[in-house]
Amino acid sequence: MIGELRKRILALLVLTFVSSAFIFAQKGTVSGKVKDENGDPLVGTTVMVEGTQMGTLTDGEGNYSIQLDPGDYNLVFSFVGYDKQTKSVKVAAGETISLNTGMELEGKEMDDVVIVGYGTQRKRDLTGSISKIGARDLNDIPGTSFEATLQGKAPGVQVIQSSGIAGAGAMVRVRGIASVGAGGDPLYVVDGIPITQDNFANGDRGGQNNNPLSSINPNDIESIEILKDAAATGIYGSRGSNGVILITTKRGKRGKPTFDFSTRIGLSQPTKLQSLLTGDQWLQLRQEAWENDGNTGRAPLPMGLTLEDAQGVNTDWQDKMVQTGVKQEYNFSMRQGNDKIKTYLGVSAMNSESYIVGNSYQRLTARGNVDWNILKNLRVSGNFSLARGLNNRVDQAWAGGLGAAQSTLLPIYSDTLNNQINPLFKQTVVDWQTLEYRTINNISLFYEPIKGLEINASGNFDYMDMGDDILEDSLWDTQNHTARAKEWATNVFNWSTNGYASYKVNLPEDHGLKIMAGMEAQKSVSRSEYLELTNVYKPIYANPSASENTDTINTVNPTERWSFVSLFTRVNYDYKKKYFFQATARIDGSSKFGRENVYGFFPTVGGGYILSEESWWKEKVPVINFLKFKASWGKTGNANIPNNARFGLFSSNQNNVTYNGDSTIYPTQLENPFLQWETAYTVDGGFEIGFWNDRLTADVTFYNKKTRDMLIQLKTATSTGFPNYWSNVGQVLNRGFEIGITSRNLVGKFKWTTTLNLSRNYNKVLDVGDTAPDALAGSGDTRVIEGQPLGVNYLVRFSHVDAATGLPVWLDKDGNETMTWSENNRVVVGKVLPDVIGGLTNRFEYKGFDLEALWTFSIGGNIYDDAAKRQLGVFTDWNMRTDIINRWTTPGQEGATYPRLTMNPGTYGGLGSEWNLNTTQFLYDATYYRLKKVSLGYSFNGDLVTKMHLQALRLYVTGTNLITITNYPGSDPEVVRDQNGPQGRNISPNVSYLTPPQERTLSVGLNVTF
Amino acid sequence: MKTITKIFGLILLLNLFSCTSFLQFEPENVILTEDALQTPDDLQRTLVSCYDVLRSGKFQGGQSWLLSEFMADHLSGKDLSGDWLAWYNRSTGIFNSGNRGMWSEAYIMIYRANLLMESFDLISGLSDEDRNRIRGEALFLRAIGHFETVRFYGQPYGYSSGNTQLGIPIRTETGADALPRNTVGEVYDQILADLTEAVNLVPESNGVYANKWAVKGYLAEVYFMMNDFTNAYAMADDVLSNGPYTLDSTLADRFVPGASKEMVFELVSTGTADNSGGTTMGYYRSEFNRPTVLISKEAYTLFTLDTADARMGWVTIANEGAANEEYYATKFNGLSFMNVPMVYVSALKLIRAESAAELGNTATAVADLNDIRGRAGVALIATNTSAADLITFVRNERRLELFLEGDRLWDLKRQAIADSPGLTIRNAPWDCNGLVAQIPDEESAASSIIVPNPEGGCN
Repeated sequence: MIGELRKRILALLVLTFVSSAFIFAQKGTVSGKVKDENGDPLVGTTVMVEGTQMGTLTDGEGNYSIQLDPGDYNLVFSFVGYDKQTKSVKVAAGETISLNTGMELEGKEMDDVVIVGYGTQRKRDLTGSISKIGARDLNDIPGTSFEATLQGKAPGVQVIQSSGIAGAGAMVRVRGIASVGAGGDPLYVVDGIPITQDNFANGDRGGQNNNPLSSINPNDIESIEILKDAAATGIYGSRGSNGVILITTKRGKRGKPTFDFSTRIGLSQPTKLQSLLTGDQWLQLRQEAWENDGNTGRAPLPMGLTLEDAQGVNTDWQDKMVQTGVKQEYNFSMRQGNDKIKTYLGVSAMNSESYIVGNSYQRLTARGNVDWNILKNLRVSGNFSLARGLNNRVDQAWAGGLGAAQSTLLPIYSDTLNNQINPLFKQTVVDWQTLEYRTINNISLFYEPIKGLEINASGNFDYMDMGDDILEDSLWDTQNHTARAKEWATNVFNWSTNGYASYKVNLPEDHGLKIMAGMEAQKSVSRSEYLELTNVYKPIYANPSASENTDTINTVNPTERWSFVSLFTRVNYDYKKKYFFQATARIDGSSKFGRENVYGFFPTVGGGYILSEESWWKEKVPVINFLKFKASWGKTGNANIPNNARFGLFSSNQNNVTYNGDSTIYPTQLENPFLQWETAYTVDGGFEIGFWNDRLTADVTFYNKKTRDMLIQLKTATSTGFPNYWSNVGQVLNRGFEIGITSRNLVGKFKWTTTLNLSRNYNKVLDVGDTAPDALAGSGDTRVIEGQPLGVNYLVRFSHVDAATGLPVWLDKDGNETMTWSENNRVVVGKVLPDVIGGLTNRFEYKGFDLEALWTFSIGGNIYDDAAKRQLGVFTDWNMRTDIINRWTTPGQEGATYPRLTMNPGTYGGLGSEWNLNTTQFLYDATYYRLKKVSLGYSFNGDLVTKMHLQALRLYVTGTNLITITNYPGSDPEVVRDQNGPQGRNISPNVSYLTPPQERTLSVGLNVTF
Repeated sequence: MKTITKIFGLILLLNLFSCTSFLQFEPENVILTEDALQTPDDLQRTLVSCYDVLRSGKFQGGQSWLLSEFMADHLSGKDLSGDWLAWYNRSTGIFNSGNRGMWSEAYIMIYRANLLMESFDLISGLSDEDRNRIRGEALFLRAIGHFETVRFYGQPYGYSSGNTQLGIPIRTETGADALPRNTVGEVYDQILADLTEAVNLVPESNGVYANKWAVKGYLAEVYFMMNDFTNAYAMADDVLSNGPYTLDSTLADRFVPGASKEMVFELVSTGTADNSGGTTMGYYRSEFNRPTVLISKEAYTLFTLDTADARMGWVTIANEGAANEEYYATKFNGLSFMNVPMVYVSALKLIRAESAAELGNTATAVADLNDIRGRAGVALIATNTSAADLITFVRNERRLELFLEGDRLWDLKRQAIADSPGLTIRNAPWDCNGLVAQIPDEESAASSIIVPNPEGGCN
């Protein structure tokens, strides 16, 4: 191979020399070959003559040639993703000078090389759909974890920040929702390590899921690849059907040490607060409801308050619960390297207060990445990271806090209320924190025994230790005055090891063949327990001393274990760098499935064709400089279910369930030995096109993904003695297209780049077996129903308020008006998923200034405001939104928005309970357009920076969530309610229930490189 | 160089070999079903777990009493909201959590009982004695599960000739398939068959667990609910005459663990953390705070009619004369934990008294009634009282004596069937749709064969 290349280069040089000598005698020629970091030709490298407009590109062999008048020149070689190279050359008339160069991968934007899982590929060679996001785009939203910053930046990737709670995570969905009972999140892989990513290790205690990604410092991330279709995710086999997110951290760079320091300080506010009744309004409306219900005299008030106590109090509880949160962040990192050792070291400290009083997330991280070239062909790399995340918790959403201020905290209550319902009181007597330690490490070896054969092996270790600690002062227990310390402790060990080898087969010219094969094993063990001590006055992590009257409750949960063993292979073949073919296959064995189905086989094939490489193309279609078609098919899977799902289980006496002091055992779960993978079959096709030398590029992909044998906790009639069991049921289809467009509108001194990405997803449940709608349920009456999109709102249709009586009129199943309430009248009226999602980025650069604005949008789909049934429905002991003013008050009143007030749900057509008032009254269009981020920066120019002995200095201001355009009247249209399990997360993400709105932040930052 | 290659090779091979054992995890701290039932002790512990379900706060330890009382006329609707208000309004609905919990607990118990009866052949070293006892207890528990449930989810026995009105699915074997609802008549047939068989299997004495007297006493309850006075009388009389139980001399001992002498079958408690009646106490107790559940003015008044009645101490009035005057139960005050009586002498005497009166045996009726009245300090009934008057007296006595013990709704429905077709319950006809609870969604969603109950009609 190498010999051949040499021969070819030599032949070219000879040819160049000969031709130039004869034809261009008056000019000189500089020619040569540009190679990439692997020594392969780098096609399309820009070669510019400094100070002129002259330049050229390297051809398909990486060769260039340029004719120049005699003289001294500097040639600048540039290629996206590589460091610029400048070489000086002296040109003499009639002479040909050979100038070869090797390009080094540049740290910041390796746009052209894509991490594909167990290897890298050139973007142009890909047959699968992969979106890549570089470091600059990953760290631009303060106080969040990295996955939130992916929003609007990759087509087909829906990212919804769950709420404005400190440390809250985002929900990421790649190409719609394809799972019901099994986890629908993509697989997260950090530097080759499939990490622990369980959102439910802490349940939804306090209204918040834990965020397993928050301990990763976004500033340490070099790039993120999102693998979307089967051709891309197939190498992850049974775990790839919901996409794979590959996170690559920063590494050392050749050169003397460079130091980066960055800091950011910001302020946080809620995007929107609700408009709630004042105390006096509430009293007036309560009296109205009381009298509407046929009562006389004064309406009784909660907590035995008298009217005199209540009048004029008017506490604005939202105001009491909301602050201006301050966010601070400091990052310091060092990169250095030589031929032997390259090192990256990074430390960071962050304190991110949310806008909710008492709520903050603090993170300390340290990371060291080392690459040590022991021999020329042997490299040992190590990645080490340690993070400490401290979440100062307050109850959220339905559990209290801001949610309480919007519901149970009535404006007639004084804010000095020393009562359990007052979150401010709670904060003074209850101390709650979640402390997480996380370390993600690996050691890997890279060895190239002979040219073209590369062997990699690595051992990985990911450990998460989470302690959720509550200390309740004796004042909190108003009945027995007992102090309590509680701790939910969880730790997860996650080991994995993999080894793979790739070989570039030596084939005749025009043929490229690379074969990779490997194996991987992973094991996860998690332990959790609950400890409660009474009559102690220190939290459990502080080792409180136990006194004689200390009662102890200690519940040790069953240890959870799962493991995977996998074999995988990938074959890449290309012909003339024009035709590409890829096949992958993976065999996964999983502990989660029964003996019948331990192993699964997941193959994919894909092909690509770069039409613009045809020799005739450039002449015939000069406008289009690049055109590539690609298509793929593949089978991937999902195994993200509880570990013991297949077993029939009995409890043991572990939890001390006794009767009369006698111990018990009892069945807890039905068996399903046939449980197996959920499988997705994806067909993907698309094209990439570049106009006017890539001034305008577009990437368009169509996909059709059918998920079969969905893992579902199938409902059994409870009279069987069990609520459900795990089974493989049904099919769901996700079909759609994605478009990514980048336009470099202006490229001169004033640069303007526009990036648009947009995706349309169509989702349909093809089959869910023989189940009624209520069998597959999420919160707020979301359902999975055959023939409908996955996750539909299943509600009674509200028609209008009857003018004569003020009572609600609904539609029955057949669409006839009825004034009788019945849950049998529920129909499908909305859906969880939007039709179109996307992001629009405009970036301007002028001299040292840069300005970037990111709009994100979500069109279609619905939000169900699940709290409105009490905020705008039955008059209960909740505060109400001021919209309720538009209620019916007098007979004959036409067009009232809300029915006559009542405190008895039965008034509304025999409604059983206010909780069941799930109607289209509270279902809204979820469409929104949001100015997600605007940042304005200034990079100081050479002189000043040099004088200060710096390499770079940038100051910037960033604002997030500045403008939201929506018809949704609730708190925030961008919402994911935190749930207690994957099914809720899959099918009811659009159900808001006092969910705190997003943060609006404004921050200033400074980046220094020296 | 070669060494390095070898090391790599070794690492890769090691990965391969570890596969199969690596993948076969058996869960910890739980038992696989196939390993669970092997010894007599395993069976016994599973049997004990049935009693633990029976005393659950969602079932006999709380909700079964409370939810039926909500539908009847002894509780107040004041300050109720959510699921409880729905019960009070007699519009339970498919999503009601109380409804779901009660239904599923009953059937969890039934499942375990069936599993026990299906597992005898798996057990080595099981004596015939144990086998019979466990089968008898399982039948008894299965009958309780069906009886307590069918009363809520179907119109009462006697509602139609042949009792063809829909009841609940009968479960006599384990299985994951949905089953259709059986008629109320079929369900009662099954209950009687189970109890009748159980009588001959359980021992005379069985600690706190079900014995022969418990089954007979429960049979008396079932026959009584069916207005089958001959059998109700016979069963109650058998227990009262031949069983080792005596009426407590004081009202204070009924719920106190270990104190009562009249408990034929009760759900026991061993401490505050193991309190079978904790849920019930939590609803009503009023000595520290305003109780969660208030009683109706009518119920309060009932207790104040006779100032000599010691049971007046079971209720109290708050804010008397003020606009926010309200009424609390005090029956469950003063207990740190309580047993839940299921079959006991006071209740059996009231069953025997009313059955005797119906059968014309006024002497027994008067004697039983006077035992109850005498203990409460109320004037005794004359021995020459007519049978018809006696029935009225006993029925009123049941209201007082069994106050809040989950009997009132069933008494009303039973009486309506027996002789009062025009009876109303808080202004609603006794047979209006909403007075029958809706089958919860968790049952009906799994299959289309469950026919829901008609709703509404009670307001």
